Amino acid sequence: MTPFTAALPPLWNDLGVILGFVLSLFLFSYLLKENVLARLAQYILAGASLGYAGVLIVKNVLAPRLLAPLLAPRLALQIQESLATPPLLSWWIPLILGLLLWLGGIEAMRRPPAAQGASLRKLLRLLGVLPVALLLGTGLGVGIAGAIQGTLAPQFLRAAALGLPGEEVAGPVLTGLLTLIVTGGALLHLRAGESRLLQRGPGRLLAGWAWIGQRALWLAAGLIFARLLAARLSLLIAQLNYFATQLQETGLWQWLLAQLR
Amino acid sequence: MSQPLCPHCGQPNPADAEYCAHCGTLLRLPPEPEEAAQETPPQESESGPSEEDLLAQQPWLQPEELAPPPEMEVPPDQPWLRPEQEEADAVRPPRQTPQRQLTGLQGLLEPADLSWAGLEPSLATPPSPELADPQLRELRGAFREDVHLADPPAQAPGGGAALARRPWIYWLLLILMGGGIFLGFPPGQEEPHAWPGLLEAHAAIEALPEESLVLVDWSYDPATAGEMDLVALGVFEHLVERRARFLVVSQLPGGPASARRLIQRASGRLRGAGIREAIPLVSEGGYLPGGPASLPLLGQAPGAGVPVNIQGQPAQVDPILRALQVERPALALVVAAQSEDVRRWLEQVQPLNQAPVIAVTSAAADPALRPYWDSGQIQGLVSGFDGGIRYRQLLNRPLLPQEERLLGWQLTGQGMGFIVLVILVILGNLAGLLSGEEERS
Repeated sequence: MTPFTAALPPLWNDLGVILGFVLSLFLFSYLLKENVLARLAQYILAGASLGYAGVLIVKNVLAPRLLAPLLAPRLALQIQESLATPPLLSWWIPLILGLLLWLGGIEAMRRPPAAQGASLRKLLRLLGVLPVALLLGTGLGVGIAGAIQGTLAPQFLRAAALGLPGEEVAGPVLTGLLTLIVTGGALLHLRAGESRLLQRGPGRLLAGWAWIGQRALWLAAGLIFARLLAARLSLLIAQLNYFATQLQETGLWQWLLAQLR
Repeated sequence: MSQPLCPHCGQPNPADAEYCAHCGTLLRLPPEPEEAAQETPPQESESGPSEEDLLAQQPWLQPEELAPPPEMEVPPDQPWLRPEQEEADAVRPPRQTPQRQLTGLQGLLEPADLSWAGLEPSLATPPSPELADPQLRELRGAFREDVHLADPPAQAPGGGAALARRPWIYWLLLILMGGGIFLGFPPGQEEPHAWPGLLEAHAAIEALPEESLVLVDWSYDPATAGEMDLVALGVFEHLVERRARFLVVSQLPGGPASARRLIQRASGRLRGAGIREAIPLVSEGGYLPGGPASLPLLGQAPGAGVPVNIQGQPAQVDPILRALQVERPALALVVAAQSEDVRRWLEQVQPLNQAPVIAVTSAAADPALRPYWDSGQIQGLVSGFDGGIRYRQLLNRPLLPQEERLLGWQLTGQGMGFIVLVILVILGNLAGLLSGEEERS
């Protein structure tokens, strides 16, 4: 049986639907006022999400990708064929860095050590910086390179291509000009909208440009808000529909109705 | 009573709050008597940090918030209210430290405090000076596709922003939408709108040869499944029907379970429609930790990025993982509730593997992704409940009765919701106009 053919037993499914319904009611009660039931539902949601994430990380990440290859050399050899890195880089260094991060994190939760003594604690704090620095550095490097190759360059080239002088079509040129005015105005508003430099002399011309940019920003925000609203309404309607259909089909609900009658 | 502003996100919080209700930042540090006995902060005067220091640390503070509280007359029978007595009684006031924090788990966890690591504040996320402007803060919220409508009403500041936090708006929305749906008001339009990019997405999947390799990035979880299932179901029906082989990975812990449930639904629907061979050819890559930094590996060598599937089987056992070691994916499908996830894929993966990308997104993500569609970086774009339903219409299969009902509910509910919002916008503008007139007169 694969996970794609497995299904929950009906009783568990029913319990899930009813529990979801009750927790939804708790959350909706927030509309009346801030209350303990709404808080309880939020805490359950946050706790269950964190608990689920913890179990998932152990079962789906740490166990099969790190611990199993380390404990079973045959599996390690099989995985090794798909990796270009030696086992030291694939498993041992990540394990050591992960342990350092955990120990450093636990140490960070405690009160800082006194100026003298506790050299082991100080060493742990120092070593804990290593994985954090690696994570931050890699994240920043990858993010900046990606932003240039995936957004900045293609978007700039696309905008520049619209206004090529060889094109004898007024439409793209006008679009390019409009893009320049709106983009420049928005940047000007964000960086120097309140600056005193824009309130006197030639700066007033730039103030006009920033004014256009500000209007354009709010227009864009309005568009995003309208679609965001559509998304949230979809969620609400889907949830109402789910309860209207699924709740009535549960055996537990039928039993409760029968008892009430 | 003044509401302390969060030093991280700038939002107001109740006076007694220890953590920010919006981003989870620790608002005050507990007193440390041992440390207080050992060292005295040299910069701070006896009356606390100076106005300049406070402004340097929290540039969003308004001048009136920095002003000292007015002098209060102390009754003779309550000597403990005298300032010198208060100072003697206090162990130590809560101390503000420069922020050296990084947010974690989409704001669910308290941001990590990096000060223990001895890092310079510049490495962390300093409070942006733009936060000083409430308008810019509101803008930032809108562009983040995450407008906070659930702030406690007691915390709502005065002015226009408070309008969005009044409970009667939610009640009006709920009553009109619920009433419209349950009373069976007819839908406002006959069929949903087909946004640009939808037909292209359908054509790209239709053109896939049988058993093509498709790389799927699953970036939604049960929190947004109500909308996203509607959008993605038709696309996955189409993929299963075309007998595509797909590897599904997710950077959200709840992603793999959502993917499994939806793919089961899609193949079940196909079998219900009489297509018996509709068995999904799926390899579950599972949860892919590491954030954006783990994505480039997926673009360079998916086999190395996902060395084992969710059951712990290596490529020798999993045929799709094995195929990805020698073949490039014919298509990449990014199923995301937020535009940020599609953007990451376009920045980190697409330039490396050059596979055409189809984005399946929520309605909220659509406007932010339009520039990528215009520049040709996205080959197809299916967004919102309307995009999802329109896509399923393109598959030329009749909708089931419950799907017909859900479609009616969506169209009616959306129509009613937008009517309420239009009324609110008109009323809000009228109120603003009238209050402006009053101020002038």
